[in-house]
Amino acid sequence: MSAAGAGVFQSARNPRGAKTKHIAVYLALVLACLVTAGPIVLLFATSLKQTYTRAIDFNSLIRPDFANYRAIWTELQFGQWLMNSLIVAISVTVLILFLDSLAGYVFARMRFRGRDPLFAVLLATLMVPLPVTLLPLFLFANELRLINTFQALIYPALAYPMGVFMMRQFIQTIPDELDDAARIDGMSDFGIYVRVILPLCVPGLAVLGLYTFMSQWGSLLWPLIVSTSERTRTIPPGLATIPGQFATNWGLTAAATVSSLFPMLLVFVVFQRFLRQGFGGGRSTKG
Amino acid sequence: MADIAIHRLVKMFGAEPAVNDISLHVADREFLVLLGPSGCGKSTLLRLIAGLETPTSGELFIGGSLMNLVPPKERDIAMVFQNYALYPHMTVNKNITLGLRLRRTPPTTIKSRLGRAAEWLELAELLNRAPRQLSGGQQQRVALGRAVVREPKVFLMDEPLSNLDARLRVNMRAELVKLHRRLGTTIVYVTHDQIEAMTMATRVAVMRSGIIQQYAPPLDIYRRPVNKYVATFVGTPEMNMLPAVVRRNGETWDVVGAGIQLSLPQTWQPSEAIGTDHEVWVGVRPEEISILPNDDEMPGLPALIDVVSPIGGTTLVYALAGHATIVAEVPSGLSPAAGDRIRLAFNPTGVHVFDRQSELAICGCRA
Repeated sequence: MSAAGAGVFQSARNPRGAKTKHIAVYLALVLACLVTAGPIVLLFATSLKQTYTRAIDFNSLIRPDFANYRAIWTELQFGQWLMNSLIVAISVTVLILFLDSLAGYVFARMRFRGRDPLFAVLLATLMVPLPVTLLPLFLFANELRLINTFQALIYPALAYPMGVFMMRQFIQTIPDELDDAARIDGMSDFGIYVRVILPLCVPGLAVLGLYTFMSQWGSLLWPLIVSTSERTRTIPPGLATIPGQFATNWGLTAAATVSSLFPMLLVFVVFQRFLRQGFGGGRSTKG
Repeated sequence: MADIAIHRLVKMFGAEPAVNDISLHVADREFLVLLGPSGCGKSTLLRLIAGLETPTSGELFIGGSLMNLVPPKERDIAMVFQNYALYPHMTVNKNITLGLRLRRTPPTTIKSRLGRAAEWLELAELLNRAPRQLSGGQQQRVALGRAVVREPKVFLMDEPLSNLDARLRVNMRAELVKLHRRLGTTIVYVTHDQIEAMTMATRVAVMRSGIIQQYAPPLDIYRRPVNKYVATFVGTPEMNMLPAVVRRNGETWDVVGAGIQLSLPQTWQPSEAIGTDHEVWVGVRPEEISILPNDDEMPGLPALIDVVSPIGGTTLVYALAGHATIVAEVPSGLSPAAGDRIRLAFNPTGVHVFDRQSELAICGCRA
């Protein structure tokens, strides 16, 4: 932005230098586009042909063959995976939004002994990498006989300290006076959370919800470990089962992958207006 | 009946007392202004009355009932906040009526009270707007409306006018006085603005460091400040303070200081026995000082005019006398100029005397 702005600014004095700069900026942008969009275009092109090779070939974009998109519903359990993914991602998102905003509200607003140390411990858990927790979590899930259940996919995802942190920071930007006014108007703590804090947190909730949904939608490692049956298999581990022993139907794999992106895209389109507010650093509650 | 009785109230924040052993009785229908600089504990005291803070010790009664553990919503109070604290996601209508709806007030009552408040505060046109679509003054009126429709026993106001521009503030002051007269409710009002205190209060409590310095009707505070702090905090420009001694002169007392030689009126007698040449602060309000020509025949303190500030009806004259700058407020007809040598004459009945050590008034004048 600033580079382009500087280019425009200079153009009045030094047209030739400005032109060179413009070209350089656009070249860099084109390169960035290629790197970002290239694999997606290739994936889409591959999904439109019957192929067992990974050859780079964009001809299918001109003469598309949608057979793979029909096959994923018949040859694969894509419908089941999609339903499972939706169940898990939506449940986790809804529960995280509720739990993390409630916890964030408590950490932002309530005064109680040990609040700050507790919050520090919560933040410290952010430092623990996921693979470290895999084994104990698996043993835990096994002990509770949760393997191949939705609970095994949902429960561990609910412990999300980053979400609590995010919501606490967001809620801290809402003026305390609103809580006081609500208290005098006759609301309980939970009433304030529901009627005042939550409605004002919508941008923050949108960011958190979107991020949670996205990470659940793409989650591979843990579902691969705890769901071994088709009944609870979600899309990412499902996709991982497509490669055959001797040959991989790349067209089919690509079609399934592309199809799995659509729900995510839909969510993005619906929530993007909140996202801009959410990333914009809280909300102004001053009139 | 909604008097407020506060008995030895203490609120600690960590080791610091924000409210330090305050006892106070606010009569029913009183308009009490808690006046003090920021950090003096006035807002904390208000929040204690509201129930937004729990006292560390002491007792608080509203209308004769002990309120220490009663939640805010059951205290029958309404509060107006400095930043208005309107719910940004609700319309003006919902902001005003939320408190009533939460109390399950019958819809017809809500409607009639909303109608009355909207008419009085000229909000009828704005009821369906969001707070962010309103100007500061309009938001202020909505905040008042929210308090008024509740018809509470006690109104609490935390610097409600401080975010308004000067003209609107003057208008709202008059509106609040009218509101008080019309509703006849007890009002506790927090401000650091002494003009607000003087113009609206029936009683003022001047606070400092969590302690009430003086609790009296506004003019009493102005005329008979109990200590040097109250004397200088109330009044603009602030009271001039000069070091001096008091000396017995037969039946009366004289004030003697650098260039000052002044006989106090006969009514001035120290409240307790003091020795001669007792060290004091002499306080004189600017309007109690007159300017005389610089003539050896004339009494008064020789001074050199430093700055002359006309403020319309009167003129403020800043004069240097020794190391002290003394402010005098004189009729604008007099037109002294900077650099003039003059004599400053203090009206003896307008002189306040404070003990140099304790800073307490030794005796009020104009008794």
